[in-house]
Amino acid sequence: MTIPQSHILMVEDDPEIARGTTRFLTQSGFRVSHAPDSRAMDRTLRDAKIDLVLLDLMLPGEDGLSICRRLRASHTMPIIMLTAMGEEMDRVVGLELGADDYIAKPFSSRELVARIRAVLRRGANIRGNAPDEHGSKRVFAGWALDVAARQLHNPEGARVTLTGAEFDLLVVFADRPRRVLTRDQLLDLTQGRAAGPFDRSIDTLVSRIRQKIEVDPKDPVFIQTVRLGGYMFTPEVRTP
Amino acid sequence: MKLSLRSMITDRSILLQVAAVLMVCQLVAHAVTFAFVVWRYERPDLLTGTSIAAVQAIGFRDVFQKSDAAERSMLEAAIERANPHIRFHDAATLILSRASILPHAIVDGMTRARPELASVTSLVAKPVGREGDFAGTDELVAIQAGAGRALVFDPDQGGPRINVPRVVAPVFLIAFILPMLLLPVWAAMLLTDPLRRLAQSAERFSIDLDPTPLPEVGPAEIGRLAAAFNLMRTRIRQLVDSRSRMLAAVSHDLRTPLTRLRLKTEALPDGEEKEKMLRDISAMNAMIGQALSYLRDQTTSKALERVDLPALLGSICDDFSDAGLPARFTGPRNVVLECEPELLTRAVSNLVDNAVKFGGSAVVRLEMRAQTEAAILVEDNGPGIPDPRKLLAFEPFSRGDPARGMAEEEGFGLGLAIAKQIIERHGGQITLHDRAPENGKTGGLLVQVLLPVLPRRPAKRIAEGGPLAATACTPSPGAPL
Ligand SMILES: Nc1ncnc2c1ncn2[C@@H]1O[C@H](COP(=O)(O)OP(=O)(O)OP(=O)(O)O)[C@@H](O)[C@H]1O
Ligand SMILES: [Mg+2]
Repeated sequence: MTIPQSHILMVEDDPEIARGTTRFLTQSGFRVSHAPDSRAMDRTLRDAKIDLVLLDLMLPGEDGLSICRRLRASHTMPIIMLTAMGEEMDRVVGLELGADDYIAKPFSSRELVARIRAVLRRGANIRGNAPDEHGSKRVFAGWALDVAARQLHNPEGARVTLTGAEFDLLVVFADRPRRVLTRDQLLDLTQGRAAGPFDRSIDTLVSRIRQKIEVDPKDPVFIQTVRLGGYMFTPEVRTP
Repeated sequence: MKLSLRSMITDRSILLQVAAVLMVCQLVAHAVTFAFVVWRYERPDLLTGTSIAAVQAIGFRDVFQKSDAAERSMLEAAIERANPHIRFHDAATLILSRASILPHAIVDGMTRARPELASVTSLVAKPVGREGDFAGTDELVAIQAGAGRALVFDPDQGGPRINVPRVVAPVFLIAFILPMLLLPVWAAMLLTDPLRRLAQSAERFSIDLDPTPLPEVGPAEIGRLAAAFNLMRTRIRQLVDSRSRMLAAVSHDLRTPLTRLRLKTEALPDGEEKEKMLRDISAMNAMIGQALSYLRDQTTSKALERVDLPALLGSICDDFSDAGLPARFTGPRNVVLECEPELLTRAVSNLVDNAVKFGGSAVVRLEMRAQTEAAILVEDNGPGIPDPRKLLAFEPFSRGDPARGMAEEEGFGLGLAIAKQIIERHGGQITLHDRAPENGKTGGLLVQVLLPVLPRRPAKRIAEGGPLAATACTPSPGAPL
């Protein structure tokens, strides 16, 4: 699946970071515009069709969080926040304000590109075939999956921690219940995260998720293995 | 001896001390009053202001003065017969002495009660006259009756005699003892209440930096203390706030150049040098993260959440092994505890990070020690930490052997300090142990974390409308899943 050259607007006040990021994003096949503050950003947004905004949290003048809120009210393109805080709190706040993802500085170029691709793909999905799954919460068999906060709670209300890759995979499943998904499809749908050398196969991730959500991981009920095909998520999923 | 007695008194609560002091004071005061009363009951003239004898005497004098001179001797005899403590004398034969007795009190007492007595020339007489009169009495009062006669009486006679013990016992109990016990407690509470509130407020402030200032009321000293406390609180808040601002600024200002550095490094041609530089950049970033979290976690507090502990530990190990660092988790499922999940994750991650850094790989085991206590054991095969350094390792900025210089793996030396801070905040304990050596290899380090957990409940998800194995294989629409 190749993406037609996407236009990314980078809002970042540090010129060197902007230059470096622009360089490797261009190398990765994106078109990049740069705005050092919110006023320049507004100008660019008027003049060009932007597919994704990379938004720094600490900016002179209007700060990233308030820009994010404002953009969300008027635009539909995905937003990725860049921040030096690297704290859970900022991430949750950013995501609640409508950012689609969050990357901590100092980021690696490979990770950034991978995240941008994933968010663009997810954005296409949302607008494409699953409009009613836009909400951030999914409920299945008493389990609650909060996509924005990246949290899973079991029927007793206790939080069940997942790794990033496990969480992404579970969201993919929860958005496509009772459909057989092949390993290739799953790989394609989840490859947002950095595809590092130690990245686990889908099988490993599925077995880890089973460890955490199945009553008996050896006799799985939620995520069933379909012979020759792949996997199927069996519970009914509601989006409250 | 003296010292210990002193500390015995001063170590008690102020309330008790004040109450005790007040009780003793009251006790002494009442005792004095009581003794006085009891003593004075023996002197009814003083107690009642004037004795009945004196009043009678004056009454008789008036009668005597108004009577005819002829009847007077008869009158005298009649009065003396009826009142053995009153005698008529020839005024001239009385031996008068002002100095020998307690005349003033008696006279004062009489004149206070009966102002008209002030005009009476009252003198005190030594017992005189007829043999046997006033036997055993050495104080007598004489008043001029006129016509050369004086009326002599014993002021102690005829006064009210109250049976002290009988009347006083119950009254004394209720009217004196009860207030004597309760009033000091009440007064002490009144006095110490501002202190108590000050202590409470200090406690609350130390927990959550509660910003409500203390009312600066109460006794002057305590009011000043409260004012000083409020001032201190404001200053601490300012310090904390400025530290939070500094933290934000530092994390931003250090990470911005680090990001630049990283971008530039990534633009270099691939090679060993580039890898090393990227590793160093990651290490620097991790160190910044450690320092920030050490400072930040001391002051912020988030809500407690119920968290599945095995899932949390498993995810930590999976994150490490996904990054190519060998870490493995084993343990029972369904152990739930109340914690701040981000903090607990950081604590355990620090331990796993050490095991991987210094020991090459980490094994995390979860064991139930009691109904409500779980042990998290983080083990490695590394060199371990020698006994004398074990306690030291928890100190911030302590790392390795100072003589050896800083090993490449070592960071700020905050990992264990942060872990301890977080574990203790969750009501747990963290200790370092030597791992038992196995098949020839040295033991390595074993870090034991004891944490309170919620009592385990049997897994009963199936009964609660969870997935049913029978329906799950062939999902039918609307199956009760
Ligand atoms: N598993 C271990 N095996 C051997 N030595 C250890 C182990 N864990 C800690 N130490 C020793 O204790 C010291 C303190 O550990 P601590 O985690 O606090 O600091 P650090 O790992 O050096 O730095 P930081 O965790 O802040 O990056 C370490 O420097 C190391 O010398
Ligand atoms: Mg460490």
